[in-house]
Amino acid sequence: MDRETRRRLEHYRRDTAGDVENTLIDEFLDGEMDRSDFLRRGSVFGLSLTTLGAVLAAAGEVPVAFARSTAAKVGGRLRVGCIPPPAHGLDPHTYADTGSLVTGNIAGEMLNRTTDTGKLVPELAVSWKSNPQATVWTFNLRQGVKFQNGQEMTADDVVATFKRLVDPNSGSQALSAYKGVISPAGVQKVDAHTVAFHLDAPTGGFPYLTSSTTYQAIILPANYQLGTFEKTPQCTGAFKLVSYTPGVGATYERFDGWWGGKAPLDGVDLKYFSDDAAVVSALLGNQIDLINEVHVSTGRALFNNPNVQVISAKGATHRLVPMLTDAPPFNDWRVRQAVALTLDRVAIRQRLFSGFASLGNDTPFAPVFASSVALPQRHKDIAKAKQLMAAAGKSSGFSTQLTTYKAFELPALAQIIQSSVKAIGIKMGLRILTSTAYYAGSQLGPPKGWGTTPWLNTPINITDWGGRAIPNVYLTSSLETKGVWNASHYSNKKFDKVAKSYIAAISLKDQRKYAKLCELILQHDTPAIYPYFYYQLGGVSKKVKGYHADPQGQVYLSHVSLA
Amino acid sequence: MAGLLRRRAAARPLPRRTNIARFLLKRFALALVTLFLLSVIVFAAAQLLPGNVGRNVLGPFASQQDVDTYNKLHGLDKPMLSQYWGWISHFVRGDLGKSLQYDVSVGSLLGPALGNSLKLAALAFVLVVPISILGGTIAALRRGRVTDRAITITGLSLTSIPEFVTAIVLIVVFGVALKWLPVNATAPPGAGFFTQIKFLLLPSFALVAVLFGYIARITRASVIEAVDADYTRTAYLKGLGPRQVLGKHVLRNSLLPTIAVVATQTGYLIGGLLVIEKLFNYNGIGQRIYTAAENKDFTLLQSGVLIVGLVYLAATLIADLLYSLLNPRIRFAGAE
Amino acid sequence: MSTTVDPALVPQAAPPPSESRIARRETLVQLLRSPTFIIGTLIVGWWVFWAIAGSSLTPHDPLDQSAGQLLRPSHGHWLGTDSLGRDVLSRVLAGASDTFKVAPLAMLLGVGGGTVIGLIAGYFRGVVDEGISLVINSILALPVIVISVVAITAIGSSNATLIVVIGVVFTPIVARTVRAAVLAERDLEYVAAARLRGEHAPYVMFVEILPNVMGPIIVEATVRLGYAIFAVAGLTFLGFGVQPPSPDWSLQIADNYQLLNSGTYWWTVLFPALAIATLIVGVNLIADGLQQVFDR
Repeated sequence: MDRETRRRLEHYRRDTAGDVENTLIDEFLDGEMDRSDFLRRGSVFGLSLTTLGAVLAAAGEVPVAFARSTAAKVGGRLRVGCIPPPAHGLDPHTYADTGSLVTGNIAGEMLNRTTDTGKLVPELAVSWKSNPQATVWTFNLRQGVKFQNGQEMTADDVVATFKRLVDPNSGSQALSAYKGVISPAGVQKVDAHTVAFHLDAPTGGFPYLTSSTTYQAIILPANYQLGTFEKTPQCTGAFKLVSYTPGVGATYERFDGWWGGKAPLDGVDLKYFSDDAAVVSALLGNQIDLINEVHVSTGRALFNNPNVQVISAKGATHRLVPMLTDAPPFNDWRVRQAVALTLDRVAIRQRLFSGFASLGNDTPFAPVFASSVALPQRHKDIAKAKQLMAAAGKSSGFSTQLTTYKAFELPALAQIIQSSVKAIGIKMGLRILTSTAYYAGSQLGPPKGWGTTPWLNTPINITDWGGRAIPNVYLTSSLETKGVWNASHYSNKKFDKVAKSYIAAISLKDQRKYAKLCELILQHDTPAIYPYFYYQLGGVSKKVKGYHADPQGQVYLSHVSLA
Repeated sequence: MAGLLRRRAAARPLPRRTNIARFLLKRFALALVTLFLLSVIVFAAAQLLPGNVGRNVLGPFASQQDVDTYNKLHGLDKPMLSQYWGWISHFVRGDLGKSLQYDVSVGSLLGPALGNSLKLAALAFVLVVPISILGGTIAALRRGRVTDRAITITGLSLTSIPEFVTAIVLIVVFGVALKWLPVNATAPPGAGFFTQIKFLLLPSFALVAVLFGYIARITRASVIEAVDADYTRTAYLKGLGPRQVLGKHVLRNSLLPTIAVVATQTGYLIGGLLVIEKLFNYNGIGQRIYTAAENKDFTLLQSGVLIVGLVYLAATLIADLLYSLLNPRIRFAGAE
Repeated sequence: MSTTVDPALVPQAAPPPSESRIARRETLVQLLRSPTFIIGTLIVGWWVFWAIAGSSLTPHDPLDQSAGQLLRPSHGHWLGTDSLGRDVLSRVLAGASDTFKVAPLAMLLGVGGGTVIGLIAGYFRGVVDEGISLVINSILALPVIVISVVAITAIGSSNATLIVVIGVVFTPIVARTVRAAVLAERDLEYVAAARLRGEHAPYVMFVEILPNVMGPIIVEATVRLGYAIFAVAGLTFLGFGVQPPSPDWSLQIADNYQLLNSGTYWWTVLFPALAIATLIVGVNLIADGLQQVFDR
């Protein structure tokens, strides 16, 4: 490392970096985290590329490689196939399904963006830092950003957008990320280009929550009228949404005033599909160039085709198999563990995903999270399962019913589970509903209960959970005692405490400490089975350049070009 | 005595025009009543759907309070009768209301979809009717021989394969493997007439496969009946050549049941092609109705089904008209 | 009121009751001489056998997932395996029972209900007939799939629901056919004779007229059976019919048809499709055979 770099690094550590940043650098230099984790966490805490490079050099590592910007060919329209279509309107704060998030996020942008390797990069905010307790996060906004309607973006717009996102009465679907973390009063303007978020609880991973991971967090003008998203272009992104037909498609044109310069594509033609085979044939038949989301079960044809490419992003998308802990037969932890032990996870991963998944270990701490601690992997162990069933007094087995709905590989997983539990004498019937019926009914929420809706009130079910950049939501909503989506009705005070400590922890070391405790408790109690975390797959034709899969399934096209 | 008889005989067959007009009027009136009944059935059926509209639109994670507010806002908590009246009184005026899930006018969603379905049905119709009539006639004329067996068995087999299987095979063979035809039925916007037809060919073939056997069989049976009938023998005895006999009597009488059958298939061809629309990603009215049913989007569902019913009734009305025009025997009996 | 008459029903003059028993026996003999009828019966018989035998006679357990995934047809698995490692041959054979659990009952419900309604409408004529025909036409205006989807979504998916829904959907169609046949019969002498004797309407309908329209009814019933199988297939494909892990044929097609895109896993779809096709062909051959005989 040359003297100049060292001097700058020391200057940074002494004057600019706060406790959080310095702790991070210390941990890395002490060898407590590896390079990729450091780069990721460094991006969370807003360390600049130069600083990151300097620290790496100090550790004797190869410096950060700058992606050589190849001159992208300008021109052409990209044809995108999106499955499924948006089910409702396009106000960003209401996005709850894949179709809407893809449609909105081609035109809209957030404060920062999570890449396919889990790193945070600046987008509408250029830098961010937190106070030592991680209770106040300050974001410096990019200057000279124009909305597609001509207005210039300032802190007022960011504040208005976030106030709506975190308001419990606005119908915001982003509350799953923000409830308990921040309230409308905590979103404050500091000056024309700086916004401060005063959190309700210390959250070390807050910048992930303002990023593309929270796909509702598209920054809109302060005077945005509800219901006008599809009527007039008013985001900041590289493409303007110029036409939208529900259930059919959408058209985008390049936005010449984009802060990022000139996007290579002239425009985007989005077509909605409701059938997997149809969208795969469309890509194979060269009628579209890109599919937003591909699954192994339906997209096998893409894997060996010379004209298309399957790209993946590791994430935390998973299926949750909760078991009701407050009623027989699953109210005994031994029964729950036994069920978990009947599953041959390696075979499941092969059968359902051809290997494109990480094995789940019955905790929400996916391998992709830096704070996850790898406990010994749970595998199929019928002998131990039988022992546990006997200890619980259920060696003759029992009958039960698994509920889930018809989408993706859920019915296949249901059939695998049904077949696996036969080995310990459980006769499992299957009830496969439509997604409407599965989520229907009331959700009164604790303390009154969880209403009547099937996905929160059946002995055992399978629900799909989208990936997140940090596991906080999984812990608070589905595992904590009063969690609003706690389908297993799990209540363990010790766990609640440890989970809270985890969320508040700032340094990686502390996070790992509490993560391990959480994982141990969950593996023992097994309120739910997490069989796998599968990779988010997308399909592109070979002539598409510069496209990366997104862990959330977003389609980010600002730097994409056609060869 | 003879004079009396003559007078009575003269009085019986009314002038053609009046009879047709009376027949039409009666059928039209009946159609209206049928439509009214249809609207009641549709409305009642839609109300039976499970799920809650507000919950459906706002998603599983919205609060119960928001859901209730939504339902109140859209008048979904009003009594059945008042909701029915609200819907039907606007419908007859052409105001189809707003889709509950998309918040745009129902007309703007159903209009293009209906147009697409009509285009596909028309193309399938234009392809299947001549082929089937030809096939059925040939099979009838070569009754019992190899040609007859071949045509009948082919038709039977194709009809017996579920349409989604035929469609998938067509997509894979002609679209993906051979790349002769596009796999999606939706032509790019602004495409010309022939381009649109090219895009609709694969789904039309799937429909032809499904309907050919059925229509050819009906044609064959009625051609056989006509060939065996007395009036045909009489025509031959009168000295008419086979071509004249065939053309004038046999074909005309065998067309009748074909028309009847095709008319009854209209409901299926317009509104029942859900699976084909899904597989070919075609924005037809079947898809719209299905999605509306899934999401309990009342306004879209009810209006969509009623419109399909309307088209069906119109088609059967026209078919009945053609039937009675073409068949002198039934004409007066039919006026009842 | 639609004047359409199904040409497949050729109204015939009813033979006097004393001869009808002889005629029936003769019909049976003719049936047994008809090749179409024989072939049809053989095919349907094959599937009925497997419907009854179920998974007890199949080479593997249709639900057993222990084999390799997506194996080609080979010695150990004659028709290959599916994506969960289950033997396709066993599933195709065992799948017959699900079809036979639903389709015939649905057909019987539709034919039974339709016959009663058709008899009433055709016999009484007048206002009763007009009213019934009105309702029938209204229901017929709705596409089958849409009604079924709405109904099943409302009531919930199960075999019983399927039977009821499909049966109810078929009732108007059968009723229309029966009505047309009854219309042709009711003006004949033996009906007038019965009325003059003072018989009540139900007697005349069910004892006098019904036996003489059995021909068209039986033909219609077999045709409806084909359509019932079709309807179950379509609804299962959409996810509304039979539930997993049943080896039902259309469920197999629905689960595996995406694999056809790559063309390399054709056996998972082809064989269940052939099963459906052969069964429907068989049923239609029987219908054809019956029709030929009744026409004479």
